[in-house]
Amino acid sequence: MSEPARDTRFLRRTLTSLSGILIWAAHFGLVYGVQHVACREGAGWTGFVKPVIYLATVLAAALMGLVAAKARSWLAPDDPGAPDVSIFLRAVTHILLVLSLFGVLATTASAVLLPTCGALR
Amino acid sequence: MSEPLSPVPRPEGEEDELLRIWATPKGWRLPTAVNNTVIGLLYLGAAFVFFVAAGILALIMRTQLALPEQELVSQDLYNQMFTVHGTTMMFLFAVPAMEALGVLLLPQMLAARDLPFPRLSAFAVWAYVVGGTVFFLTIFIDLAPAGGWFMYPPLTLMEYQPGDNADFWLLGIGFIEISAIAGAIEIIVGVLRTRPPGMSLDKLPIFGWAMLIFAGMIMVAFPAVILATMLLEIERAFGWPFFTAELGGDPLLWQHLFWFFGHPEVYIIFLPAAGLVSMIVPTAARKPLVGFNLIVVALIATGFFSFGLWVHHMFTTGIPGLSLAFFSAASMAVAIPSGIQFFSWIATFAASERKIEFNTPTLFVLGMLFIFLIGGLTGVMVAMVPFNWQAHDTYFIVAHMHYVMIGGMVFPLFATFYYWVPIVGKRRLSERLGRWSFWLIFIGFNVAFFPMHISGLMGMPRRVWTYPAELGVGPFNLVSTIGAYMIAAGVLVFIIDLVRNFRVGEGGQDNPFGAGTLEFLPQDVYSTRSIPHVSSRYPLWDDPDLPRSVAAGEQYLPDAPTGGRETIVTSAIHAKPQYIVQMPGPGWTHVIAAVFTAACFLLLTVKIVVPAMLCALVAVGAVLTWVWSIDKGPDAGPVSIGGGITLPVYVTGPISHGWWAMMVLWVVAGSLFIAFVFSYLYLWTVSPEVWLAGREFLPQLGWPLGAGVLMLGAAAVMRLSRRALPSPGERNLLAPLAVLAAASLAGAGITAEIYGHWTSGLRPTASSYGAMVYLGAILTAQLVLAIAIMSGFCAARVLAGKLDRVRWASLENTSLLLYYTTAQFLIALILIHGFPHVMGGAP
Amino acid sequence: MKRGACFLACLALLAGCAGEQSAFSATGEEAISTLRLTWILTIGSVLVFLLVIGALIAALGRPGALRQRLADPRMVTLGGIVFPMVVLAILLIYSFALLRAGPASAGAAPLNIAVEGKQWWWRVTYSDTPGGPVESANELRIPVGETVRLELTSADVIHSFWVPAYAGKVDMIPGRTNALTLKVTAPGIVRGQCTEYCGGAHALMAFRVIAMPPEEFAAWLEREAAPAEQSLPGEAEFLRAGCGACHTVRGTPAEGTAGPELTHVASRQTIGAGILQTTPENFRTWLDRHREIKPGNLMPEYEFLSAAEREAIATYLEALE
Repeated sequence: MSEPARDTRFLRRTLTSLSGILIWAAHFGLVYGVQHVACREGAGWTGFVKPVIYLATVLAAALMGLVAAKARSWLAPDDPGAPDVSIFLRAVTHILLVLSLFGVLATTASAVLLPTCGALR
Repeated sequence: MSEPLSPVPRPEGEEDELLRIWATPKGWRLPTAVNNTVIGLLYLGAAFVFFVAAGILALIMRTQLALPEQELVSQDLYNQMFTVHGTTMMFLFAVPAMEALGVLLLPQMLAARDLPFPRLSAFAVWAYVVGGTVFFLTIFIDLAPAGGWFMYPPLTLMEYQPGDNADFWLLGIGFIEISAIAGAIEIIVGVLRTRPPGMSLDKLPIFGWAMLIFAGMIMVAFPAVILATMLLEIERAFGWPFFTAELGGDPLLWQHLFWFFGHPEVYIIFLPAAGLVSMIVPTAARKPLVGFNLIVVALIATGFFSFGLWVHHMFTTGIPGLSLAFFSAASMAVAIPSGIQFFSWIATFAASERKIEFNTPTLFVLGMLFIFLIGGLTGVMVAMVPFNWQAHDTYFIVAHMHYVMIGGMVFPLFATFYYWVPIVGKRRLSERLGRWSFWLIFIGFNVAFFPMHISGLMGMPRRVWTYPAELGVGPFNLVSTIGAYMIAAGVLVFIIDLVRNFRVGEGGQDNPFGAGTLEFLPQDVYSTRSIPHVSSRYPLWDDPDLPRSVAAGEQYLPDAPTGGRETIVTSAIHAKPQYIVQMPGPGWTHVIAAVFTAACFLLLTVKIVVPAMLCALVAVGAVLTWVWSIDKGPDAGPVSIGGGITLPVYVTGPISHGWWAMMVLWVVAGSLFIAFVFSYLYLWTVSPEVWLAGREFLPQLGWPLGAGVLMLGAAAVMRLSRRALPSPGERNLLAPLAVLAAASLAGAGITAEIYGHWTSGLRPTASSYGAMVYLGAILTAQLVLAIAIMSGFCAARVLAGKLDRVRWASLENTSLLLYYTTAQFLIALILIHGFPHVMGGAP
Repeated sequence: MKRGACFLACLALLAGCAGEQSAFSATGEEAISTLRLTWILTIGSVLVFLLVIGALIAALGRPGALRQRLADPRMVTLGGIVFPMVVLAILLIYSFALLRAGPASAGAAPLNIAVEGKQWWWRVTYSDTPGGPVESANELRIPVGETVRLELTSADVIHSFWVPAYAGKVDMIPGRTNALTLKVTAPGIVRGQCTEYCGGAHALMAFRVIAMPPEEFAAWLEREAAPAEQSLPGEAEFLRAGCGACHTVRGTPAEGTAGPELTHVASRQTIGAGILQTTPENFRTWLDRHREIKPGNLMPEYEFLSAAEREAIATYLEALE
């Protein structure tokens, strides 16, 4: 019985292509979680919120830069018998990185412009 | 024109055999059908009936509101009506209609013979039809829920809604949860693994992409509402205080969970519809979609960003301004993908070399663009926090959300009806009636909903059965009511068109609109005569000879080598042929399972417990009977599909479609568990004092350690049981014993966890802490119960000689579920027994 | 700015939007700035709408240079990504600026008033009164030009406090205390209503807010704090019928708290939580038919009382000024 063709590196290709938006999701979850818990816990905690957010933003941007630089090699075709989807996946990766970066920066802008806790009403 | 992949002419009688294998059962056996066109039509038809029924409720409500201070409808009935209207439109119409289109159209677009789990979708559809009908009928007997489609506690707790009404809501939702998850599994595996050879991801039609994202979103969003409904039902039935503030619960927990589902839900409905538009526009323009890659990114980005919007619905709850700002920012980010899609559609129209023909599908698409654009712009408005504070829960939002939903989903759906009817019907629908229908609905819609923007800001709140004349919104409401009747007239014209022109069957033109995608290939009950090799996004445009070649059987798999229903499974990214999947045909088991599942839930709702349990037993029995026959084994041997390709007909492991379905289930179960972890930690932030008090009841360390070891032992024994399997054709006793031992160990593990808490004096009704602790155990216990049933099933199959070293898919799936359960249980143990030690606070 | 305001007022008039429960007739500071935002957003939306629909019409029209340019994939990037990013970024920053400018600017010690939502009416407590908190119901009086801090809570299910002329809504959630800071710029009477669906008579849960000059407010609060006049005609029937089990009339044995406080009920604009104008006739109507007027409300029906007894109670209520 012939061995059926395996799909090469499905997980790696998928995660690379989605990395921008996954970084956004992680950043968003972290930022909202830290702020929510700190504001509930009150004094002593709230001072950490903004530094954490800025640090997370720098980290997210750096990771996105890394993916942008490495996407070509991570997505390179490795099966000459299969259709070449690397151009498509690279395009998806890069455009998603741009949109996700906007998302991350918009989140960060909130932290720059508004006080950490308080309902503001 | 390339060489035929399969030798022609095809042997005499080959097509007759295909027709026989794929024949639709006739007469009273029709309910046993599982073919995607039959099931898809039933699904879509039922959804449309619910659309009309909920629309009639809307008309009655609009009549009541036409003038101030009318008394046509009583307060109680009105409250039930808007609850049923919203619930039906969201859960019984919008989501099912989109899943139905997936079931109906995806196999045709992918030139697959069927989706990979036909009975699963048939089961989901029957459960939905029965459950949905019962839910809707409650409005006629004063048993309908009256808590709004969002069912906020504490209003929906026993204290304020003592009757069974609210439970009927939970029942209705339960069915949609089941059928949505089943549909998601079907669609993800279908899109990723049953594409025609050569259709790599960059050639997948946009509707396929949209459905893939749709199903992915369901996997993550629905578990949140499943958990929410579990919590609410448990609190209603047993008094575990998840939402009761005095005992450490929080009404806002419901809102977080509900909107974590509810906001993505809007996009779950919109994305497939946008995908449909992305299919129709290129056909209208006779040009490929401009910016294909951008559209794919737009769909993915929408799918993710929409999960960062849920607090958008909670801007007025008094949570910190910065939290609101985060969600306001995400609301901005999610607007960009819509912009991409708009300009891509415009560009595609502009690229056309001819004058655009304004036929009915195109008109509905243009109507969608007009209306959804307004909905999108008001969406940006309500994403602005201060504006939201005014607009929230007023008729401004009623206007906004109908612009988004009707514009974003109903208009594309009508376009779809007119565009895709030729692939299931004998002839097209009427262009003349179609135009009448379009203009009535389009004008009526704007007349009905545009004035609501103004009446809302003038002070008209949502969900009111009456309003005083002094509000000054009477004229606006009268205009809205007139518009509502125009919409109804438009829908009526469409129904007349259906009655006059819609006949299921083959015949007529195959490709009346000159589309470029595979669903317009010549079709019969077996789908396409042969499965084409795809090398572009619009194969019918790029190879005008393809329809003839496909129909002549020159492409892949023109025959039925295993003698049963089958289709080609290809690799997820590159679509390289991997194996032939054998699929089940018509049967009663899934119908019985669906009906008795429905009966079980229904009886539980009205608290008739023993018959309900009997129904559950019948349902489980039916499912087991059904599953017993589907693992057919490798008997037919490798077969040739043409083009010099020979494929196996039975595989296990990471390339099998069953394994992929289990991975989807992992994600679903994982999402449910993450929603639980969120709820646990969230309630701790709300009521840390309850957690501090609960710390006193933590069991000795021996309990969680013992429970964890037992569960790990279960996983290890299950792993070893594979080695104990007999060779093909033989049976033994060791393997069944090992499998059952694994299940018993798992049962012992979860029992130890529950018993440990019980002996240390913790009670789930005492505080939200206790409720959360026991809930964590329940989430694992239900998985263990499933594993126990599956293990018994596996043991029986070994004894029957149907499970061996090669043919072991049943055991593989059981093992995969147990591995997941073990991981979830260990994490839960660490959280439940570890977190109270590290959370801080004075002892 | 003057001309802008005039333009807005004209538009509002055009739309016939001068009602008393309208976000268009804003007289509170928050509502005024939100109304400005509303118009900016509306005008912006109209412009974007015209732009996109214009592009669509051009795309559908006669082939030509414009249509060719629209078909360029770069247009998708420009119109679909760059343009919205710029516009949305500006909007976002503007709305954050508005949020930030919220009540933080209010300064000085505010006047505290507690409002509790209950199925289906409002308990109002003037917390800062010299002689101790003064309770009232279904009507809120506030001094013009002063900062008022409302403390919003719920006794049962979730309600939402909304006075569109003054500010956006704030939910009242069991187990939580929310706050809303108001600063009203002009005297007048406006209407407010519950905007979170709270079951049964949600549609009939309204109230009035009366903004008065500070000195008038002080005088009114002093009167409000005083007990009711003793031994008014009908008081005996009122007490004998058991009204005091749920209602308080200060200065009498009636000390119930389940229903609205009634000490000065006749001096309020409305009865039944904003449902009926306060007139002698309406007190009788309410006692006779309150289950029809406000279905599902929790007050028992009083058919067992004779017409004369109901008449006496109505007379008593209209005397509670």
